[in-house]
Amino acid sequence: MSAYLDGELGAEERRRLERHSDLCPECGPMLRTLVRLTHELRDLRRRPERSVAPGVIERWMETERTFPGGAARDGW
Amino acid sequence: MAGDRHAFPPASRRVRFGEMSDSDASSSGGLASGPGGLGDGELVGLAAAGRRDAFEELVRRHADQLYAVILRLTGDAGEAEEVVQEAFLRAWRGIDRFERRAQFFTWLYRIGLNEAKRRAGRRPASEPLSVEDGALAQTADFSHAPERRAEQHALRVVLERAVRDLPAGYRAPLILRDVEGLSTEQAAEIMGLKEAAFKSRLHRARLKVRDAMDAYLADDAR
Repeated sequence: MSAYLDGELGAEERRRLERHSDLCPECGPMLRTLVRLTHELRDLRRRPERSVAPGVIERWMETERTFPGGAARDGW
Repeated sequence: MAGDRHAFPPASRRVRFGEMSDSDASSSGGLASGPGGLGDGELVGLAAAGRRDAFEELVRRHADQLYAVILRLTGDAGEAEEVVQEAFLRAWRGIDRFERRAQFFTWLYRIGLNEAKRRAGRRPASEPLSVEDGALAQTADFSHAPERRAEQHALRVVLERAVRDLPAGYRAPLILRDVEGLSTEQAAEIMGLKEAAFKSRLHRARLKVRDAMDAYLADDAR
């Protein structure tokens, strides 16, 4: 079932699992809810409203000015 | 280069060097044409040779996505931002040791995840993760098909909570694979797991979150 969700089955294997799930009272509901779950989870994907990149660049440049050449290798 | 074959995030989302502001351009050395159109692998090569504008481009491409992943793991916006800053600093310091057979972003994410883990280890066990529902949430807008959208929003909240409640070792696979859409190979590499072990954790995580979704939908149907 995981291989099905992850797109790792060939066409024939997918059809076999789908046919089985149409008839099996255990596998059918499980497959359907897992398929729905993976779709819903993908919809959770978000980006921050404000990009963090400028702050990262500023901090990186500041650290490079203060410790040029890697003084922060042991943590900063 | 592998980094180009699985370009991530999609090229359409990338910030091109030419779109940078004047101050951005001047901080990059005032080059007439920048590295925005290059693949990650080429940028890494330039950054390793000391080109800061190339590294800046890598930050612009990957910082927000890494932040989103780390925020889901830590639940704390300030902590997530610090982890991302540190991950990039470590990446810059170690870029000449980056193995080109890997993709830059998987290497970077691994640094970020390790840093988040290290910080979590320092946090007292009794200290709960803070919950910042608003940090990544979109503004809820129920003006069109309000009932359907409200239901969808409620389900989203249930799923966010179920993901957050997973143990970290299970949460990360689910976030990387199912939320962020990385391949199993990429996500397993970031976590330093063999694919079979990664898949096993992912499957367990999915079952746990599915239970939460089922419980919500069953309640909702009553």
